[in-house]
Amino acid sequence: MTDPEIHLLSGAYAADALPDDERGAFEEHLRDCPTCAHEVRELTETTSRLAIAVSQTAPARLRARVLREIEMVRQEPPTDLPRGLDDGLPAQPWYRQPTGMAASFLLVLSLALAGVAVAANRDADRAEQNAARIAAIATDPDRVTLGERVTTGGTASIVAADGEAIFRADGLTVLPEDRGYQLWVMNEDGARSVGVLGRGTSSHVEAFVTEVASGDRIGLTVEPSEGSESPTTDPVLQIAVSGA
Amino acid sequence: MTVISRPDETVVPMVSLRRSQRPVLVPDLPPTVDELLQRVARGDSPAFELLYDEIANSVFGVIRRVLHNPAQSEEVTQEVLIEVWRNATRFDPERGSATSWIHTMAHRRAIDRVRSAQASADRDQRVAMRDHVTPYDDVADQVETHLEHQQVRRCLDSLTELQRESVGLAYYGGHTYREVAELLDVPLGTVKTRLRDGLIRLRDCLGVTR
Repeated sequence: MTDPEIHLLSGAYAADALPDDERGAFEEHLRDCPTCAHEVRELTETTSRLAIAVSQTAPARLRARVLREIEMVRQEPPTDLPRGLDDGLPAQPWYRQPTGMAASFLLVLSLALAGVAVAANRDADRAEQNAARIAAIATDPDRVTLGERVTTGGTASIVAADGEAIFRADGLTVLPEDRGYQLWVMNEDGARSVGVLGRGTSSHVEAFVTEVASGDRIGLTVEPSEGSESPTTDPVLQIAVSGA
Repeated sequence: MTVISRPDETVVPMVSLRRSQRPVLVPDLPPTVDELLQRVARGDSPAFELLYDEIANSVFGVIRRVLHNPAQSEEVTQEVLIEVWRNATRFDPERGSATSWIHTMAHRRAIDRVRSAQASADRDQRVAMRDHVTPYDDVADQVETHLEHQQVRRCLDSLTELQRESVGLAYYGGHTYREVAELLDVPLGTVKTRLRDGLIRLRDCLGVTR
């Protein structure tokens, strides 16, 4: 999106008055425009005051219901790495990679991730930490590399060590704008979302996965672009994590 | 392989301080929404109860304002509040206040509901919203005690009519800026800029800085 007037959309964005497609484009723009991001933060604080101004007493029964419900809801892990970083890395074969090669590609990846985050001028510290964790996985002597075909096209691999993993997929079928590939960690407790990767419009996605244990399966499903709470379609990919 | 788990910070108890060790000169201020949300992120459900009491009314109020239907509003409010619990771990104070994070979530959920209702050709709600040009009308059970309410109303009054209508139709009416342009019969570019300069003027009037 190169519309020179795109920054004028900050007000419409803060009021949630952008149609979905324009919202996505504007969010892309925000990553490269710290001034706009700052303005959006202030205008969002402002609309928050508009919400406070129309407070109404919530029904009393709601309180008990919500408090009961949260006892049964697991909190998300605090991860927030890659949402499909399309950084032009060379394509990798999906099958078990020679370990030296895996290490070097991951080091390149970790630097690329740090670079992207700095360029976007946000979360630089966290990116650095994540880069360090990615490097730690890449150099862990006990890491395992596992690969599998994606049934709808493309290949995926994970490199796992010490409870964390890097997921990567290439050659994915590009999805319509309102669909995305959602990554899950699945075990007998159910499916935990890692996130929607790359809004489905990219054929290459990467993600950092925490809290993975041997015996878990990593799964990929096609979901609405905002993601689902649990998988609503059959997985197009499953990788059983073993040995790590 | 070991499962990585976060250190359980919730077991570090404030109460282990003996009463006499508490600093006497620091008044016992109630925790802020930001502090509460950070405690909630560590699985602290008593903190969630306190957080609920701080935000449930504004969350319900803004959802009700957009959706009108009380039953639907209650349902969406419940979803949002559980979402707050679930995703508290992902709140990043660098990006804004906890209150604003929660209200954004609430407003978006309401908007999503409006848009999916529109998509399924349920026009009733939309017709009801057409009458909804002024941001303030008499909602009988509105919580009027808020100073905030007075201040926001005063600040809204300082906007031009077109700014106020645009902000009201977009934020409280749940319309896209394209729909606002159509409803007010003004060019798209005008609505874009009125929304932006209207909110900027509100920001300055309310003294919001971040």
